[in-house]
Amino acid sequence: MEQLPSKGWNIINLVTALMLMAVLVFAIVSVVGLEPLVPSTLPESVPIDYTVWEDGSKDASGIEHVGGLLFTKYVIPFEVLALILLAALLGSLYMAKKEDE
Amino acid sequence: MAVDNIVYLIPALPVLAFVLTLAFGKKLPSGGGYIPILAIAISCIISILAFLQIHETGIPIEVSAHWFSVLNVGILIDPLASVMLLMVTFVSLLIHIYAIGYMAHDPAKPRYFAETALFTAAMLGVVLADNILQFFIAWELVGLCSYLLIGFWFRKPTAAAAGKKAFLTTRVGDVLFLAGIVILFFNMREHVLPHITGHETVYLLQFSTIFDNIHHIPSGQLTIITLLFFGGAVGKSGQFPLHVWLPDAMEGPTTVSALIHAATMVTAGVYLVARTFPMFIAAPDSLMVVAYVGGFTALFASTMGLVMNDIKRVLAFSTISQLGYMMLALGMGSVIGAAAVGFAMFHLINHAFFKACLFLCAGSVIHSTGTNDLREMGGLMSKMKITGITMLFASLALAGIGIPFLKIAGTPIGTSGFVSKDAIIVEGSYVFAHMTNDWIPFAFGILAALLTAIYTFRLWFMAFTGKPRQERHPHESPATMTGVLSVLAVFALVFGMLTFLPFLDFVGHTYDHEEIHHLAELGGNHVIDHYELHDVVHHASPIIFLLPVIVGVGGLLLAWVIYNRRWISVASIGNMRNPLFAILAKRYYQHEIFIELISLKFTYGVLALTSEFSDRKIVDGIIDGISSFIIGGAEVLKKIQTGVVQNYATATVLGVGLIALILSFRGVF
Amino acid sequence: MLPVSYYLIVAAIVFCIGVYGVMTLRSGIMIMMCVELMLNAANINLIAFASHFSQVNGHVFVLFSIALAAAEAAIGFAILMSIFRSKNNVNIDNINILRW
Repeated sequence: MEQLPSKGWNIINLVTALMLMAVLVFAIVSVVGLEPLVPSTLPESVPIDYTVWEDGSKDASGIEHVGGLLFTKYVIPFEVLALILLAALLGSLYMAKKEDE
Repeated sequence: MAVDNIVYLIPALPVLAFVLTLAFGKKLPSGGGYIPILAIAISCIISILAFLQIHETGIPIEVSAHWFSVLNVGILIDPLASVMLLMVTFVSLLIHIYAIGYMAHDPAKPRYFAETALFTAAMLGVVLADNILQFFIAWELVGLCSYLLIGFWFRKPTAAAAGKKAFLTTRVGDVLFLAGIVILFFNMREHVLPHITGHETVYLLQFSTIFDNIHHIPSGQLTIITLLFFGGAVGKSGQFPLHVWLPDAMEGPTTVSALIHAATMVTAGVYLVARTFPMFIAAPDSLMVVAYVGGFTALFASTMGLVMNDIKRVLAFSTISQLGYMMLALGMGSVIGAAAVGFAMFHLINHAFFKACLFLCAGSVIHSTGTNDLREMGGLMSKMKITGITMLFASLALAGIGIPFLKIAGTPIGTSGFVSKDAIIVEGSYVFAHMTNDWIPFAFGILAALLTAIYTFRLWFMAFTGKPRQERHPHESPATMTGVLSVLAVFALVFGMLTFLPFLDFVGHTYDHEEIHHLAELGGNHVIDHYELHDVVHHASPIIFLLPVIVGVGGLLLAWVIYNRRWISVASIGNMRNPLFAILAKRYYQHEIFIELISLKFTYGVLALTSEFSDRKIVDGIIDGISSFIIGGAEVLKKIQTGVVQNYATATVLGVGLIALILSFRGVF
Repeated sequence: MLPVSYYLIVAAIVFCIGVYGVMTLRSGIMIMMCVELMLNAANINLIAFASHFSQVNGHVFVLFSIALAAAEAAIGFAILMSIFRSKNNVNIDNINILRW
């Protein structure tokens, strides 16, 4: 393991992380609750949507729907994401390049 | 043609002379001295015209212009102001002519003549002022010119110090005067303004407005106001305790001493009390304070004049003493009403003539012998006849020598000093001994008269008779100087006799249109109705008439015995082993008391150093303390910025967590 | 079906481990890894809710999140390369010029 920072900061970091964890867990438990959510209590009851492949197998992962949404409703973010990746590529290439004299 | 249209020239021409002399004096012959002489001569002629007009018609000349709000600028010439105008312009003119000869060898002549021209303008401003604020402004200007002229030879350290001392001491008086004006203004605004109806603008500080409405001002306030005004007069006229600047002021040229400290500036204090006399008579007890201070100063200064060896300092103490007489005369107003103004002004004018003559003769003596010290002079009579004779006449006037019991057409026969001092002493006996029971001021006056005669003739005998005590060959002064001396000596001799009754009549009735009796009732002073000067003759015993002559001639004989005949040795009385002499020679230890004790030890040591300490330690300490506290706090708090980004991340997460924690406990979740 | 809160609690724990790592670790590369941990914790949250409500939107959001995480990691490592070139190590502790 890496050498940890000075003792003072060490303690503060630990305390901070633990406190954050306590807060988040407390928030989750108090809002969402620990019982499984019964479908009838949901705001909008949505039936399970299977996809049936050609060989008859059922697919509950919903990957076909993901693809469909990706190219219809969310196509603009998709294209923009491509541009972002291009920009990141060019940027990191430039910054990591060895400088010639 | 009324003079009203040109009276503004009276102060304006000397101001013009000031500017021109300052600008062009170097190129003109005799340092530009002829410009002020011309200007003052014209002012003198206009003053004579004004006087004649007032004497004929009896109506004062009033010219006024609006300044701002409830204040105005204006000129008021009533009988009181007209005689003062004549004296100031005439004496100033003569002294300027004398100065052409006296200052002939001085390289800074243009500056001298410019400053004296400005001084004359300021003094005329004081005399002509028709409201108390304008009076004060000109008064301050007079003080400034006095400072400039006393410190004329400013490279001499004693002269510079004397100028500073004069200005600061009169400043104390000026502050009191200004306080009086402010209190007066607020009283006028509060008590008088509601009563004044009509649509024309009323000027609250104008003398006529004040005098018409004195009965509206509460008498407690009136006493405070008049006593503060008298405080200003004490400063300017060198009464006790603010007299300390006058002897030191002799560091200036002798013509300055003659002009400022004999005839004009120091009389401004007396003029102030005379000008605001209705207020003084309506205020309870003010006039009694004036009389006591005046009487005491007269005696006090004359005791110190006995032992001075500097010719000018003897005359300085004599001036202080005579001004005390004038204040004493004004103080008699509690019984005789506004006629007291006549007596005081009569003595003032006569004093101006003979004291200026004495100073100018002293200047002539100094000019020819080159020393101020009386012990080094002697036997000058043979070489400087004109100076000696004129000085003799002026000394006779100062000592008050005259013929008692003899009156031609109601006028006593004697030198002008005799006529005026005799009048004051005789009236004083009547007022102080008969009517009120306060005879102390009168006793002071008699004693002072005796001492005055002694030191006056001590001076004359030591300077002009006996064996010459120095090697230089004295010579008579040039004609410009001796001519002036002769004119002044003639005035010193005969002016009193020639103008006694008309003068008292003219000036004594200045305030006739004010209801002096009514005002006097307000002040608890019981004033004689229809006071007639001649009545006193029947009331007083013959001793009173003999007293001034006994005192005067007695003093002359005593001085003759000691200083001329030397039958009593001076050294046996006048050495420092004699405790009385020591006290007088050390001037009652005033320097030690005022400067060493009060000023250095108390004011500086206690007040000033304490304030400085508290200012430095406490006030600055608090400011510096706050700032160092904040800086210290910042030094501690700045350690948060470690520069390592991870610590900032820690801080961010900590902050978010804390906020979430707090919010969760408030039930937001 | 497990209660959705179990998945959320797991994601919270992973997130806090990532936070602790970012605050504590000295090497830049380790910090980048912990940043990825935090992002993945968020992704777990998204998938948990998407699966629980049988919505597909959550999955699409996660796709974008992963792609952006990759882009950001690339840039981050490029910056670490620049730091390494000038200091010859990637200890983030020593970059403290903007201190008091």
